[in-house]
Amino acid sequence: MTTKVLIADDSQFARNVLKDILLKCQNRFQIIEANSAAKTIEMFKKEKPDFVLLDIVMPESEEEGVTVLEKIMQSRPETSVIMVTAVGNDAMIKKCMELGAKDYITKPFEEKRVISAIDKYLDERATNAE
Amino acid sequence: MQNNKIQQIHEQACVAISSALGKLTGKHAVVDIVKPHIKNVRELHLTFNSDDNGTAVCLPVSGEVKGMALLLLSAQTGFTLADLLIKKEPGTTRELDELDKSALQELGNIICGTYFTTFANQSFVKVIEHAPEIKFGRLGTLLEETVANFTRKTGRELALEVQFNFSIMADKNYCFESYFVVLFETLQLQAISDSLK
Repeated sequence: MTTKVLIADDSQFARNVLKDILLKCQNRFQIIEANSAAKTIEMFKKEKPDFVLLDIVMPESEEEGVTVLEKIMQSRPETSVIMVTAVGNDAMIKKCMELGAKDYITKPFEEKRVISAIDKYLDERATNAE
Repeated sequence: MQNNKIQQIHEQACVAISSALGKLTGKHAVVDIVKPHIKNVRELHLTFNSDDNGTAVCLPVSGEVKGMALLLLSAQTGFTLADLLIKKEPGTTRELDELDKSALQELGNIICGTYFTTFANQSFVKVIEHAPEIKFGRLGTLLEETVANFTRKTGRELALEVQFNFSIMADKNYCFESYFVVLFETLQLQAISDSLK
């Protein structure tokens, strides 16, 4: 079964790094990308991804990713969102987890940290499907 | 001003950046932290040739404290880092393409973000990070312009300065230095310092 992933980050380099990690995983992923908050919402509504890798700071305004997270949770709360961001302060981590993010990965990350978060998501998904 | 606590936070943040640089490049990196100290913005001067061309990444912050972090890299350092980040053979990059620029911007974003994460967690101050901006040109001019823009906006500033000398063990091709400075509005920094006593 193919899993649809939305990578939302304004940095092309950051999106490429995450794509490379996903392509190394054994599971098959259909990867879609967004480089702004507006595009993320648009792609989320159109493509209905299974999970989202979401940055916080986007060019439009500060903490734009948090607004995107809120909108995703309101629209489809079953979506798994993993925050992947250079913003690592305790208050922001707490806020995103309270809003419904499944995990919070601070940049720079080790590859195994991202793979572990994805594996956890896939395990949960398999359990729920049973 | 009693800057002991702020100085302590600054030093902790610089250590966190060293660790982040190693993790980011995926290599066993040794980072020497030179001169992490607080000074007036007028006393800032580059530790390498200010006439050289290079790259600047600046990241403004707002919230309970207004500030800005600036990372300056010489052109050669930018090329070396682009090789490392994009996983190219050493010496491949002679000119930055769009992906190289994106990689350096993300590196700046992570370094500045790591600094402000430590600063926010240690000082209990709300810091809102904005999107990083990348610029190219003469290094001295990039520093002067960034400081001048920040000074115009706030009026009174203090600079927390540091130089990183970065080398990859067992590989002589990877050795470079960078200059990193954080600007804060003096009165706000004073208030934070007082609250931490």
